[in-house]
Amino acid sequence: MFSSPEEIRSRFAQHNFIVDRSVSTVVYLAIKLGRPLLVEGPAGVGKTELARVLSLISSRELIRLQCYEGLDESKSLYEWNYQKQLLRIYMDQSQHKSWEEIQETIYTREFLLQRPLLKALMAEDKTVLLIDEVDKSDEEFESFLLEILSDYQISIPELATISARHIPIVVLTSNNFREFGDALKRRCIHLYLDYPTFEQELKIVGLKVPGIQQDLAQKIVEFVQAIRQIKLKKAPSIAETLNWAEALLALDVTELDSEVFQNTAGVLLKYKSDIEQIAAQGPHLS
Amino acid sequence: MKPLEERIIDFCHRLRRFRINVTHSQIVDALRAVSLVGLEYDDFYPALACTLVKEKTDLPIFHSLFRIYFNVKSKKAPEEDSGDPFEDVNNDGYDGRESGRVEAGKAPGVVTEQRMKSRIEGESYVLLIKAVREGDYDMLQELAHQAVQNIKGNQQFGIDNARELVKRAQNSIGWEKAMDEVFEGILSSRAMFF
Ligand SMILES: Nc1ncnc2c1ncn2[C@@H]1O[C@H](COP(=O)(O)OP(=O)(O)OP(=O)(O)O)[C@@H](O)[C@H]1O
Ligand SMILES: [Mg+2]
Repeated sequence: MFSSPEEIRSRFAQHNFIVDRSVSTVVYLAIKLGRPLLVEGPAGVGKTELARVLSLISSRELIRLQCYEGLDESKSLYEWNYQKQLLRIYMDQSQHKSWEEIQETIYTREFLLQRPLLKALMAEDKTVLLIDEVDKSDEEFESFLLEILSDYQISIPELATISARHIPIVVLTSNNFREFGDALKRRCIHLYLDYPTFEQELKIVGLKVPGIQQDLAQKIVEFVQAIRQIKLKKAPSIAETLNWAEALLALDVTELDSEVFQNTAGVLLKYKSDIEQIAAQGPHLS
Repeated sequence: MKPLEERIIDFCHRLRRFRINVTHSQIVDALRAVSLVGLEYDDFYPALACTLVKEKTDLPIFHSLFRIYFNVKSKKAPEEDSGDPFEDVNNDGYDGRESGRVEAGKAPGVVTEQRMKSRIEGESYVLLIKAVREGDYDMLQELAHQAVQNIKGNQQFGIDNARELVKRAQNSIGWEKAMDEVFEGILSSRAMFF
């Protein structure tokens, strides 16, 4: 599909997703080795975006499973459509069908609600399966996931055993909200995404905030990069850099001074205490 | 078996000695990965890291072992000695100076030098606590080596500022924080007896 890491890197770039070579190497290897790719890193460094862009450049449908506490098989794999089954039972009963006959009709694909995992297994075409924020799910779900990612096959007792037509490209993301199990980790190829370098972030701002002056963009990125070195409750992510750049552009700002910072800091930093800390001891502003 | 493959397998065994538990299937993956992407630093390093390192906290140790074992030299400080503690490492394997393929001194691609520094500080501190608590001499030695590497280049070694240098080396691996925590642990476990 991709002939080299470099091809992935440059095709990512065509979709304004800027990564360095080593990132594309890991993505390339996960695909070539047929392993799930586990992307770890702080909020807003492009973990989800990576999966989305990967689906674009591989022309595969993106199937996304958002994880949360309490996520279970019925929400991730499949559920029977009880309402529809009930209706069918009423109809069949009125035609005096036997229970055996009814059972045969209501446990068929027509009554199956496919959730993301089953969708990915049953898809006609090749897909990218994104299992987003897997650290938010619980341990039980994790072991269930491990089974699926080992066999790519599930059994629906009333119906059949279903094996994947195509093994999807699987991307799991984690924010390290919770440590998760060794077995699942060992199945995966690991990618640690971190905040971009100055040059990369400048490039991203240039691409995603069209119309911004190079000079201002540079000041913005310098400032953001500097405050990421300071211990804050929540460091600004790429998304926040972009929002801030957009805000400053909209306000026709040309110079970053402390007044501008005070007026727009809420776009960049989420916590009041962080804003106060930066105002007091952040990088120098005129 | 090709020498490079042997070296990679040997490297994996070193990792195990440093408590980075590498399974057989991970080694197989690593070998396949390298055969797929080759020896360019930006490919070789991530190929090994992404298949062998399963815990983020193992990255600093992996990184320094990689640099030592594959004899990666820093471009910024070409005079720097590798401080090679392994007697069987020679220059016929993977060597950045000869091939010119290694952008050495570079932290794992996705991580900048500066950030690697603070990461090393943050994570060596965890390792330091572990090493002291478990009496892991190998690990302590490796951390000391890392600490010395960290302060190299910026300083002239001199008698009068030796104390300061030691302090810096200690700081660079999070010594104070780690010792605080170790002692706190000792104190609180004592407290249970009172
Ligand atoms: N390497 C990149 N190149 C270009 N844009 C990027 C890059 N990384 C992130 N972005 C931008 O930052 C935004 C946030 O990224 P994304 O939502 O993927 O982060 P995330 O790592 O999934 O965060 P979270 O942990 O909060 O889910 C994206 O919409 C994208 O526009
Ligand atoms: Mg996300």
